[in-house]
Amino acid sequence: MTKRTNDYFTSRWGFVLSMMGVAVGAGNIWRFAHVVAKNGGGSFIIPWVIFLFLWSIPLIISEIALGKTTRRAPIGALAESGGKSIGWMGAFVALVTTGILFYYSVVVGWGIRYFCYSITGGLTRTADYQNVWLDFTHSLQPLFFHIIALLVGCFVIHKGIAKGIEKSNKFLIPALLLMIVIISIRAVTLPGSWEGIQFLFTPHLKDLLNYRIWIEALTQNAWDTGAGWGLLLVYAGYAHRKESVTVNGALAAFANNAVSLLMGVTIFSAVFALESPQAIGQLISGEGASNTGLIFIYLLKLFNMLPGGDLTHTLFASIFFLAFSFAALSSMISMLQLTSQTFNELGLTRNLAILCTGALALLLGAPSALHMAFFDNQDWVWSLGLVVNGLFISIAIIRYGTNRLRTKAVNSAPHDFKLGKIYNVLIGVAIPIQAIVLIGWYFTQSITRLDRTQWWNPFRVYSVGTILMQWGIGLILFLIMNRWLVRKSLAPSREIKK
Amino acid sequence: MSIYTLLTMVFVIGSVFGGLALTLRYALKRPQGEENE
Repeated sequence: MTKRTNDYFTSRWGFVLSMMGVAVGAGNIWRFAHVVAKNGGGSFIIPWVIFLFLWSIPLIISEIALGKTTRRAPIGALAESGGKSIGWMGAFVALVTTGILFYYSVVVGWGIRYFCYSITGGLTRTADYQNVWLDFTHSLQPLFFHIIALLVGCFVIHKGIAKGIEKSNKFLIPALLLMIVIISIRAVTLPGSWEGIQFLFTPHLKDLLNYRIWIEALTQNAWDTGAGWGLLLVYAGYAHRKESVTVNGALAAFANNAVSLLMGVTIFSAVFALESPQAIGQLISGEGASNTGLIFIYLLKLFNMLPGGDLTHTLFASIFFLAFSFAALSSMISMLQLTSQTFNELGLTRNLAILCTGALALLLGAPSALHMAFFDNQDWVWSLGLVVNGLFISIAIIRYGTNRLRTKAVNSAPHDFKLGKIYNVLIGVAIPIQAIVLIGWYFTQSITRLDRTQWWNPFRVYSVGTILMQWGIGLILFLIMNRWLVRKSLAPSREIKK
Repeated sequence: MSIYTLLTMVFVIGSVFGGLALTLRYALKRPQGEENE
């Protein structure tokens, strides 16, 4: 990871596809459908698109620009651009992404397990996919496949960027997109699918006034696109100086939101065409494990509807879950990369940094693999952390100078789309306001109205207390260690620690 | 189908796929072979 002089992406499409590999993953395929289902369909999707333009695209462009300028992991990047006093903000950015990594590897493990189920024909012997899912999530198997996912991820980053990630993404991303197009066509041609499409696109005014819908829409768009994770910041450190910032960033954001939409149309067409009204009601209210496992249940039912019998089912399920596993794996690899690069910059050797990251993810991800309530808690706490990440990245840029970053880094690549002063307004005003308003709205609503007696309880899945405790531990620790973190991250010696 | 559903469809699909088409068009029209020199 510190091979700065020669370990670059070798082509424009390699870099773009790798960025899509970061963005297209479990967020689009697994998380989008299940978050839409529990947040009201059309009422959710309107703010989700608004945040694409007001949050994700400006942040992605900024992360690429910062990455190309500083060529450092988040602590070094934020300290170098925004000043040494805010290194702790970079550490928090890395902590949030690492927190997501701990349960993301569990989702990668689910994908690998379902690929094994599919290729061995295990899924053609039953039609009760809900029970298959429930049996699986209540066993020890998710822990075993979580370990497998981490071992594979650590092996790939150990082999280096251009060789491993770029080559695999050149094949896997197009394969995944082709699969999604084929199954979406089958889904929308099912009788009754139109009801699902209407659910996805029909808004309700009452829901649009609910803070939870807006927060979930922002965090989901950040999940979809990778905005505010710090991942694109790290990846851009390996891009060539002439590589475009705005066009590549916008392309990655639009492409993966398009994938999310396609998956949404596919899943809801299948659910409404194949399920009873009672089961649909349960899914929409977000009840039960079947909501979290939406794609692992309904896509399999959809594959059953394809012509060709068991052979087609096995073929489609195998290829789909293989592609899903790889797409999720490539996103997970970038998270492993970010965490291990951060450790590397703090003084660990490269191999030790990878080992520490893998071991931490294995230990701290194990509870999410074994308990769905713990998994949901981690998803809520660290997804909401992405809002704070966006705020911290914008603070770093404001301190550096939004106009300075725009002219020196965003608009520096030849043949790139040149951004006007609207960029300054989005980063300098819109992103801080969105972050402060949404988090403030959530805290005040929870404390004064919705969770008045238990909001402080740190052991409840969705309480304010659990967020304050988990974020607080990190923030206090990083504030105390700020000087050491910055000194280590900005030390020139890190470049030769191998 | 209600008018709100139709308007939401136009807004969502138009924004996402329209943005994707425009960005791809811009990306592919750029002169080739100047990066990674």
